[in-house]
Amino acid sequence: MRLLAIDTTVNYLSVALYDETLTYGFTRLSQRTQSRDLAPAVRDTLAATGTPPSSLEGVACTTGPGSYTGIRIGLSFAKGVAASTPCPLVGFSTLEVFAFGHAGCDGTIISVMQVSPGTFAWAHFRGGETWQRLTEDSLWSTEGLEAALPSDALLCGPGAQDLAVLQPELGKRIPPGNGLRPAPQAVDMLALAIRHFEDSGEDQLETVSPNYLRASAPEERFRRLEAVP
Amino acid sequence: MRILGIETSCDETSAGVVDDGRQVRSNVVASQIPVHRRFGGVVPEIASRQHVMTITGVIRQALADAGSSWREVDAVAVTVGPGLSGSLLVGINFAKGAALATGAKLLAVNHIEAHVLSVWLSSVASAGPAPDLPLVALVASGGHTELILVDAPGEYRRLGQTRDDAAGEAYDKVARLLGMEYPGGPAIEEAARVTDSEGLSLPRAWLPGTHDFSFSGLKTAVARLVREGEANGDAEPDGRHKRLIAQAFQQSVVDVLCTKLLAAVEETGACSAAIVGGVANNSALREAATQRLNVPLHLPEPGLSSDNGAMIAGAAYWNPVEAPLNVEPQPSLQLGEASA
Repeated sequence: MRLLAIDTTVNYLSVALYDETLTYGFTRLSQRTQSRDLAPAVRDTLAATGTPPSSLEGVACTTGPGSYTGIRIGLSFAKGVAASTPCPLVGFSTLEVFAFGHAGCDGTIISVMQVSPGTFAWAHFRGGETWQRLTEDSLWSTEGLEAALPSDALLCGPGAQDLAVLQPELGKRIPPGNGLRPAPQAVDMLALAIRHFEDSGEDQLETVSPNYLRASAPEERFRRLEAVP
Repeated sequence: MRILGIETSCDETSAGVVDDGRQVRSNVVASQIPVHRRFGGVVPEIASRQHVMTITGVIRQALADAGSSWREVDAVAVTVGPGLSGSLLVGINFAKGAALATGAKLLAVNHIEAHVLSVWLSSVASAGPAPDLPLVALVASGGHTELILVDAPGEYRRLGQTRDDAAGEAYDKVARLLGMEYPGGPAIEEAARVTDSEGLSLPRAWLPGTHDFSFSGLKTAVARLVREGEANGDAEPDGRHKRLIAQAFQQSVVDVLCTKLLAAVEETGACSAAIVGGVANNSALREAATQRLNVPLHLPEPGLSSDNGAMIAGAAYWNPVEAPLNVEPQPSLQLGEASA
């Protein structure tokens, strides 16, 4: 199976390729340059691994939460590749890809990302022998977050450190490797994608949607206006 | 040469397949008008969100309607500007992915140029001859109002442009003043069909010595008439007073657009004229221009006036600009500026 995985949902660019004999991938900082950098990076990755684009058998892409623009850059590109190759597409939550980087840890793993000051996106997963999602991605304010945390849960993701700044005792729950993964790693997504295509093989090209978690600002304003009696 | 054109610069997600720059094999447009209607205009973040959801289906349909596979596509053409940055990003990144995966060429297209060249397109294989050059094109839409002299595809001179609102934008704003629905073009055109006229007249901004336009004073004049009408108790959206205002507004816009187009044709000695862009759908404008011009007038075929993917594919054939994979949106791209 030949798979391409890409992420542009945070301020990084992560690309990985798997073809059963090798796994190749990189992650680098790409602040506001993802639209410029993504396509050449994928072209170079395919060239470096001697992979003809037409031989791809699947594309995996993060769907957010994260930067609205970043989410759309990756997803639009991934859709273009998958639709035209053609090959199936699968989308993963950015929070899940973060958490999967710690899949070897037993117990509950909570993936967190600060989406605006004091507001965090999070989801719970179970690591160890079988990877399992425990809760859907959702938004929480800092208030009440600590009480909602299972006492033995690990905290990971780019928001873990932000939480620890607010509540220092939470710092003890962050695994040492978290700081090495400031962005979701496309290589981690490959493992999730392989599992997906081997299990159900469902093609999400027509169904995958961005995981913004929030309505756009104008819609929010409209909703508030309509709520006024 | 078969080109797939992708257009996502504003609020239409569109794709079309064109052969050899003339024959439109398909043209699929997913309009977002209902989504933006309650906001009274296009909301950029919402437009971007819609594009990323609809683009795959629109392109699949465009290829299916054309009876084409991806393998038969020689080039993928995409609008790189001008337009909304977040909206452009969706089309551009989809196009990059497709070009990279299929090995098709990636061509960058200027949205305004695509409107200008839309009169080269035809839905039938035996299209008539291409317009005689030089040609003066009036580009009139919700985002643009410009007069362009076309010496050849790729060779343009901008003669004039609006100094404030675009013509279509004026229609939208006046529709809002009159309590009509967005988009304003069809609503005003419908309301303006009043049989009697009380000689209600609205100003025209001639801006002598230039080929420029201005519609903001007209909008202010409409606002004043609406206020006066409301003071006199004529506040009904379908009220006769508002229909008369709509009629006078449309007469003013059509008169200015036609007169300026005529003047530009005469001054440049152009062999033909064209009206392109969404406002070219306005039948009052079409009729007036047909009557007043003494050179052949070219109008886009139905479906090719408003933003669409076929015109992007057409423009990429007549003025192919090969784009590198790192090409980015150019929200303020000017005609004649390098698009890649």
